[in-house]
Amino acid sequence: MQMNDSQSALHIPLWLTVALVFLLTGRTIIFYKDQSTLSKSNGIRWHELSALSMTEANSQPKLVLYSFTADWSRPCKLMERTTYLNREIISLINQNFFAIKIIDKIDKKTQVTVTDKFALQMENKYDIFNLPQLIVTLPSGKKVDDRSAYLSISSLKDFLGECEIKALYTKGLTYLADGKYSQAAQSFDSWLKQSNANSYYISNGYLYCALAYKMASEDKKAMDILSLALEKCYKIQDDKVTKSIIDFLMGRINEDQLIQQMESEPFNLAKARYFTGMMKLKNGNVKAGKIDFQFILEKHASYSDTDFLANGQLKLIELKSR
Amino acid sequence: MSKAVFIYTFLRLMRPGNFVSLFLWLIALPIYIAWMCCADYHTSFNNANFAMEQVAHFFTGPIIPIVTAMLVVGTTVGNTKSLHNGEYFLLTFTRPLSRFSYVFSKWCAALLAVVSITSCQILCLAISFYVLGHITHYPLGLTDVANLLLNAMAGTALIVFIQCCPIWLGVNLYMVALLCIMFNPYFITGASPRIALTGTEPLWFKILVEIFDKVYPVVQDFLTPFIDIAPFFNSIEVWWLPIFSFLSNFVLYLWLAVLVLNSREFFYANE
Repeated sequence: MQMNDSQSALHIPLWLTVALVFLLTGRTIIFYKDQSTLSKSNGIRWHELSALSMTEANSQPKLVLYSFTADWSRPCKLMERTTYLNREIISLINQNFFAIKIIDKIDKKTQVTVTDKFALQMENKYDIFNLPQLIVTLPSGKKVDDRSAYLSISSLKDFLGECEIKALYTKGLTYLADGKYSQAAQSFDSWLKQSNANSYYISNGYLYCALAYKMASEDKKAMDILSLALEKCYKIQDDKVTKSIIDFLMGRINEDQLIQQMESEPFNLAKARYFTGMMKLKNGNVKAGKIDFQFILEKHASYSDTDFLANGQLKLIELKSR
Repeated sequence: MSKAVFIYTFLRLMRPGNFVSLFLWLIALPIYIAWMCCADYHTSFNNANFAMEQVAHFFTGPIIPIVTAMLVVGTTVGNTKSLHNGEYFLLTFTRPLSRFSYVFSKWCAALLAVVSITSCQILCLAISFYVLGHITHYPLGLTDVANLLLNAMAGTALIVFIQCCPIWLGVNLYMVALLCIMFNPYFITGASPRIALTGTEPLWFKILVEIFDKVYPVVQDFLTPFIDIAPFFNSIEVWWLPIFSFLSNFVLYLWLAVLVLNSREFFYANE
């Protein structure tokens, strides 16, 4: 467009100004209407955190989804207004999860965050460091997985789907720790069939599955799983730890050789001692097995699967000795 | 729209000085990001898909479009010194041109360039992930393409506005905008500073925190040209605020760009 005088070149189109005024006015009105705190009554059936809801969560079969949020957190509000309003997300959560929401609030007088004592216990238990944070657990309370920060619809869908599969692995661990070996083997087996998780979990899954079969005296199935693991895990990565433990479970190397190979890395040593301990239990040498499990808890001192499993076995041994 | 300004702005992107940064931006950055995501010991199969999705959102979000827009628009809006003294352009701009037409043409050219560059980046990224990360499905959908277009539209408008401002103001606005975008709650968990308060702080500190808590989100809202349209589909309730915020920001940037150019001593022959 070319102008005849320089003044008309300064002209701002009226439609642009009108559009701007309309949009800014609309934005301001919506902004002030939108200042309410986090809603609890959208499509998702959220339960409030209480002793009653916890008992209910423990006694039902669904996975438990904890959503840690705060009314001062913008990402939490964003999730509330976007992701949690999606129909697919709503039906996915309502059908497959027992959903519990924990909301931190700000005291208007002191401007300090107020957290309910019960909620604080949960935050400490699940190591909540960021908001929003989602934790998925088995009904028993054993953590399956967690995710923090704002999650889009597709990310949340992926996360919940992964949790449903990963719950099989966590259930397997729980059964293994409780001495229910056949159920543990079945759980790990179905997890291995469904999962395309990363190689770290896959190699662990094979090892625990084979161990569970061995403990359930299904040696042939255990050997099949170990052969499959050798074929798959060794291809995925140069996983010497898994390879050594497989060799031990297959009887190719003895306990001393396994321990010798793992000694340089405390984490791997603890993992190896769990398998040697379990084999001792299988052979009826409970006392020697107990020493291995105690070693793991004394030296390892972290919240890994190995600690959880060793702890479970120690409790079982104690129960049986009574 | 002025065709001359449009073509001139687009061609300026192809000057030899831009080739190195274009190569780095177009090819090296996607490969580097894919390599970083896939080189992780534990990243394979579904993790690579998840990483790809996150990175693709990063590319269709506001950061990449506004940095690319800076490369394209660069110093071509509201120059006070001439870089080229080509007679053709001098003749083109000797007659007065509406400031709005000028801004709009610059915006159109920059938008076309930004969308082309970002599309190529996403393609490079997908190829890199496919080669390095064993992705099993392409995670970008139609909503991502729409997000790319919309965010490029508003991001480019912001850069055109910034480039119309005097240099001191433009540089500061650009820095603040980048900060606001990087700390946007869509991308990181931007907890309120109130969480750090224990109740024992002096009053002036509490007031400072209160002001920051109220003012920063408003500044952030006005300087973040971003929208994600995925939540608006299949939702039980439409949330209008982000739609109005996005559209009003976009129109505001163009309106302000024209206003700022009107108030500055500017003549087209500089181009």
